Amino acid sequence: MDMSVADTEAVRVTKSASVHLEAISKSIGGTRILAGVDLDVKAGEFVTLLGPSGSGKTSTLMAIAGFVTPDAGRITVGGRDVTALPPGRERDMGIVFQNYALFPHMTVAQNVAYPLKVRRLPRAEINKRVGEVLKLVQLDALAHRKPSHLSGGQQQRVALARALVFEPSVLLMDEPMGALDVRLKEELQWEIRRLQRELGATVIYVTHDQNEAMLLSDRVALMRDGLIEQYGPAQDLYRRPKTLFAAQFLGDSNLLTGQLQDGTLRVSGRLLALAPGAEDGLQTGQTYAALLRPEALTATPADAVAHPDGRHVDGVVTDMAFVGQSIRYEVKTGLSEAPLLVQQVARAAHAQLAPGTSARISWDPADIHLIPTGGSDV
Amino acid sequence: MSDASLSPTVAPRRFLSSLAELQWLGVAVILVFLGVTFIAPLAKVLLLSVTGDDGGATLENFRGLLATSSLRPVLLQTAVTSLEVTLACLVIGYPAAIYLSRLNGWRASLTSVAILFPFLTSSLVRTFVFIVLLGRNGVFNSALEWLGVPGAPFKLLFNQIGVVIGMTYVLLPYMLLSLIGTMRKIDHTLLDAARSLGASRARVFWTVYVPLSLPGVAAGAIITTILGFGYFVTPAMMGGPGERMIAQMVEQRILVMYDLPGAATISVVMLVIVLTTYAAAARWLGLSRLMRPQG
Amino acid sequence: MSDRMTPAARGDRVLAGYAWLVLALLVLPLIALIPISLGDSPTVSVLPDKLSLRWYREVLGGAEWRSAFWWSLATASVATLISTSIGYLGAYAIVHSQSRLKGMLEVLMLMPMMVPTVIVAFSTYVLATWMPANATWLMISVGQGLLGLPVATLIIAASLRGIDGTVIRAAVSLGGDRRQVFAFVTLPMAIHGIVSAAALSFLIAFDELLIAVFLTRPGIETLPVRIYDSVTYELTPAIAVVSVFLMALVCLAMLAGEVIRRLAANAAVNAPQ
Repeated sequence: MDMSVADTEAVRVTKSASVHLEAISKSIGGTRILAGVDLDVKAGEFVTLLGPSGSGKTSTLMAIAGFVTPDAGRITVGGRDVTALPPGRERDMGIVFQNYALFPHMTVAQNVAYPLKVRRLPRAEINKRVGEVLKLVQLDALAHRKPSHLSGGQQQRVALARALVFEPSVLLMDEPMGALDVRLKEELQWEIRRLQRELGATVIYVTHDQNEAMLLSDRVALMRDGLIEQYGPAQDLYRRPKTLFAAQFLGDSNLLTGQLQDGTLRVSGRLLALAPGAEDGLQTGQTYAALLRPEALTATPADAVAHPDGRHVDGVVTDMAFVGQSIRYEVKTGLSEAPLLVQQVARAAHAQLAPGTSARISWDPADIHLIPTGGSDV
Repeated sequence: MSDASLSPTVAPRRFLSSLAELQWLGVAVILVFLGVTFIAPLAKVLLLSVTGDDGGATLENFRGLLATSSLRPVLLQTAVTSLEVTLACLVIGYPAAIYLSRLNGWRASLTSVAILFPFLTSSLVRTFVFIVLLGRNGVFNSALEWLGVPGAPFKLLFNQIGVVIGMTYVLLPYMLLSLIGTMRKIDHTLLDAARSLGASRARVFWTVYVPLSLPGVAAGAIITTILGFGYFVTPAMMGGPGERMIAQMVEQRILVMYDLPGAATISVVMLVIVLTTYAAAARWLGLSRLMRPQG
Repeated sequence: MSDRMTPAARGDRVLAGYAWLVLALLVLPLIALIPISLGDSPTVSVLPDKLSLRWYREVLGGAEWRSAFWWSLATASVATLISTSIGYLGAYAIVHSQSRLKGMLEVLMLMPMMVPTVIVAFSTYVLATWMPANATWLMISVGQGLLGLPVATLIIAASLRGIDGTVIRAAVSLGGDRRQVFAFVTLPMAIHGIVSAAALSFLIAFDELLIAVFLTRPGIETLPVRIYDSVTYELTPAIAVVSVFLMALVCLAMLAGEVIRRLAANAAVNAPQ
């Protein structure tokens, strides 16, 4: 990836704009697709809409793009109200579609030149900019191929180049990695991340892949049932999810439900120690779920070391699996119905715990995050 | 069941080789049948075209035909008619196909029935009904008179206009089926993509939709042109007196003049034109197939 | 919001109206044959002054129309047999052969469609001159069978291509012999194609005019020849009556095709066990 600074400077997205969604709602055939979506994207920010299928993430993106007309609400880009604008020149957004939507009857260069041609730019200017953007995505050698002669990854880059070449104020991407295999995906994710940082583009990205979302985004908007469940930096969503849904959608989780009692959480008759300040703003006596990520737990032989009370539990290993660099245990304890998931780095020095043996699970109270259960059980 | 038939490798191999034998037997049957019923008589037709009155080989038939007879005007008339019909089918069919290709559910079923029903109905029947409708006192002229169109009633039968209208009606289903088949396959996100890239609706239509529909246009146009070129029923029933189209010319030579060498000579001219068109079309369509996404 | 959609939406509505109009213009002329056939006078009219079954009686009672119908039925049936069986053999070879000659076979099978009908009719005429005179009606069938052959081949080949080769291999590996595999696996899966091919070649043969015109002789006259002569010499509602019968035949064929398609879909689910 040899790239001079001059190359990127040429196609810098100078007008990258902020995007603001205000109470966007939409029903189709009596079904509520979007139920009042609010979203704030700063200029130059990379925001991912993450969620399961049917959560409204693609509809939100299509509403921003102008292909879905909201029933109510307002969309502004750089302070300009675009709610009623048709998709296209006035709306000024670059879109990378799920299946790339490359024109099969045009070459790579013609595909990329299309948005410039419809804007009636001079021939020489078109050629110059197409050349630059193709160099940027490293496809200058394939400029005269038809899309059907390109690999999936190359097609994806063409789609990206075509969406960038007219310097849109916002770049929208709808699950652009959906059809690619894992290795290629990773490579392209890093490349998209690099391009976005270099160009300073505002990107709104849709995916159902949490790892992709965490890798790429400045902020992640987790969607569910046509609403944004939680919006913030990926780390926040992972460490401090506000709802059980958020806790379970991002990463694996152990959720222990109990009652908050002066500095501890009573779970199945046991008291879990909490870090100082963990209960700030929470109500004593209410039911909360304690989130403990598998990598925050340590499994040792049951008789190994003594831990202070409230920071460990004993159980029986029911399953063990190697996941490359780490080992995963499932340990049945008295704390919850489901076995606890433990994930720890596999080191030769660590004793392995065979299924059927008893184990002691310990943790640091600082890793416990409390989530209001809102009445619904896990 | 014997042991051999249970063996997973032996049985299929024997089975497949027996299939191969069967296949060759089938091909042999086809070759004999088509050889006797089609290739041999066709060869005889070709032979007739180069046989002189004395029974020797000659090109005199072709020379005579081009020099004296009315072949050239008829050939021109036939070509013009088939192209007119093709153009009419395309102009009428294309906009309709755009809408019809987007339908699904019962509307799509209704569409196929409405196209297949006339498509499958005898062309004699379809031509007959147009003779009734286009007559001086027919529905069409009555409607025009009622609307007060100046000059009505028009003479729409037994002339060129009648033949073109009748053939357009008969061949339109071919064009529609070809267009709808191709248009159904057009990915509509491509149109969205073009819109998002800043193209106007008209521009999207001309730069994306039309190019992607071209294979269907080409296939439909070639089918209607070639069928129109060799058509007999409609021109014979609706055309004016005399030999207007080349197929009628062959028919006249055989049934009225008993001039088999003459009929054969015209047939060869027809055959050369049609097969050349096919060859050119195959090249063109072969190229255009490359334009389709993922081959 | 709805304001900006209006021009496009109006355009769509105009397009829809136009498309339905085109479909109506395709079908309505044929529907108009029904009132024409119910006329009472010898002149044809879409809106007859008096409705009657007079011409139905004339056609059904007239020996000429009846004999023409039977001749058409006979020649078309034999023609169907020819194009479907030869078409099946050809389609099978085209789909399953790896030979480089199969492209030539394909062209050969499609030839009768590429060559103008009048030339196929001419060559059938030549063929008939080589044959004994009492084989004339059979030669009509042969010629009509040739015309149906390309379509039959294409349809059957498409349905054979739709059969997954591994299913056949599985059936063989499960111990089926050639006859059983054909009867229980191949045939049920290809039957829709075969029946469609048969129905279409029957309609092609039944409606065929030129071959029958060239080979016709006293005592052998098919329905299309009779219609053609009637249109030329005496335009009466009788032709409309025959047309209505022919359209009923088409409806029947389309309906049968649909029924067989559904039955075949069920059979294909149930048969390979």
